[in-house]
Amino acid sequence: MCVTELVQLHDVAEALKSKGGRTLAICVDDPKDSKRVVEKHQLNLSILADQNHEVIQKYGLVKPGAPPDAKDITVPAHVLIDPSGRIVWRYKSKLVQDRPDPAEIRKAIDAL
Amino acid sequence: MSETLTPRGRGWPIWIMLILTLSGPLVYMSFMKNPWVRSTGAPMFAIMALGAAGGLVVAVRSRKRWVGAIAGVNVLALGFMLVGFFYMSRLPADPAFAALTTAPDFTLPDESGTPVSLSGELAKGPVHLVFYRGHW
Repeated sequence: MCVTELVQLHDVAEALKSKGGRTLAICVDDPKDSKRVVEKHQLNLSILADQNHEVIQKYGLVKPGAPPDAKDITVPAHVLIDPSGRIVWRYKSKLVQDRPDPAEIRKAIDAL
Repeated sequence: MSETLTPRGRGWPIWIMLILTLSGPLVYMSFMKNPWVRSTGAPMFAIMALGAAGGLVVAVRSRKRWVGAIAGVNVLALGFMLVGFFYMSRLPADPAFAALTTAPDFTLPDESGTPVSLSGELAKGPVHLVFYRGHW
């Protein structure tokens, strides 16, 4: 279900590429699984492995004890950063199932 | 007096209401790819509310105990979904994320094990970070 989100970001990632940018997905899973996912779904983005939770802590996105195995994972979130390092658009899910409309991300990319 | 003269309504439509209520989550799963459906659950709750309300009407009209029991199941199913969707699934509201103005730098390995640094990528262009829950 969560991989669906990455597949749906295909056009958004292409739009960012045309501006010289890059889409980086971040999760706490094993990078071996990430490689399989990228190949299987032919994703046009990279998946970074935050296995020590260092980055999700820095960004204030730790969701403690999530099912199925009560491991800490990330709160679903999006951050669009301009080349100066400034955050120009962000989204954080309030409920587990919340996801942003890709059209909204697209608008923020077009405004870069 | 008039109540005893009122003919009892049929009980069987309660099954339609039960199927309607239980089909709500299936509709949700089927249309989850739509971001609006996924985030709000609106079509699911509309269908379930229709089934629960219709079930109560059927139960009151039929005045049969078993029909009332199934109407109760419908209402419970709706309540269970509402609690699960809006209460159990709440995420921590850490103010640190909203307070960020610039993106903290980091270096992480990508799926091939190659280290990727945010500052290095920003030197080439804008970056979109997608924090997601995992591969399941």
